[in-house]
Amino acid sequence: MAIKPDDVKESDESLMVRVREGDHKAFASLVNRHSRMFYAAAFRMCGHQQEAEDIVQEAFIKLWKNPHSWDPENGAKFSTWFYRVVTNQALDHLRKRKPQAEVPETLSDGAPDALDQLEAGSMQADLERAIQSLPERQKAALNLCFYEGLSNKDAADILGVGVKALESLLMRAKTALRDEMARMGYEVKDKRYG
Amino acid sequence: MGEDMTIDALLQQRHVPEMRRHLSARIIDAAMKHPQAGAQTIEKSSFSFKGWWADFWDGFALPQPALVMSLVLLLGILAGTKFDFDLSDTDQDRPSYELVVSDGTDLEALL
Repeated sequence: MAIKPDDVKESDESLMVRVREGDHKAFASLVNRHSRMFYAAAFRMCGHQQEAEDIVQEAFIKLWKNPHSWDPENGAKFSTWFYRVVTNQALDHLRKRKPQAEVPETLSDGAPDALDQLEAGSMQADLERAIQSLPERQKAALNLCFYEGLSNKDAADILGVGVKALESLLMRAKTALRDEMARMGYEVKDKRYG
Repeated sequence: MGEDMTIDALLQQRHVPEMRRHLSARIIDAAMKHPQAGAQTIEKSSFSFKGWWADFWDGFALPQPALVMSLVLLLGILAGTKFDFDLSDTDQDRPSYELVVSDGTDLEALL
């Protein structure tokens, strides 16, 4: 479904007000506008394309079924609120998922005959594997702050922790990643020591 | 391998595959199969007698027992009125004592 010019003018919050009144078109506009962004967020949490699509679909269906869980009165920005919905959906999904040793499917479409691309692909696969091996909350903190660009306060609110605790989660995530990548043979500088 | 980079530079190289082209349409279709909690959808907001009837009864502020008691009282009054009216009718229709007495005697002689 293509994005119409009308959809771009209206704010997310205004669309949500219409969704709360049962407006299908407003819901479709929100989905068209944000599905790619929240799919990426879900993928970064689970590392699997099909699962990420299911997570974002479930999150949007929850939004449609119960739009009153978003309260315009408390001034919540739609995207921040929906990051919380998607993150919780992804965390639920990860808890239910059976433990499995899987190679993320991010690199299956690379050029097969270019050595440098293969090396880059190998590094990206290792990076993805290292990130996916992080504890859930460290992974969520890293994704929300580093990739989704949320402020520490917003990310802390989404995870239900204080800002100091979030900073601690971030620091531990980066330390664990650096150690894991070093174990795989990559040399990663410690920023603290230049 | 052996590249020398900071952790932030490494994280920047993370890759997310494109979502499938029809994911948005799939989400919209799937959501439309679910009713919304606590809201009538715009498309379904047409008049229905069942809905109107429910709203009509919801409009009564009387609690159910008080409503039943009021109805019983009203029915009682109506039935009572009807019963009085019927009594006057049935007095005339019912076989009188005089008629019973008159069965074996001469009625005119008694009067």
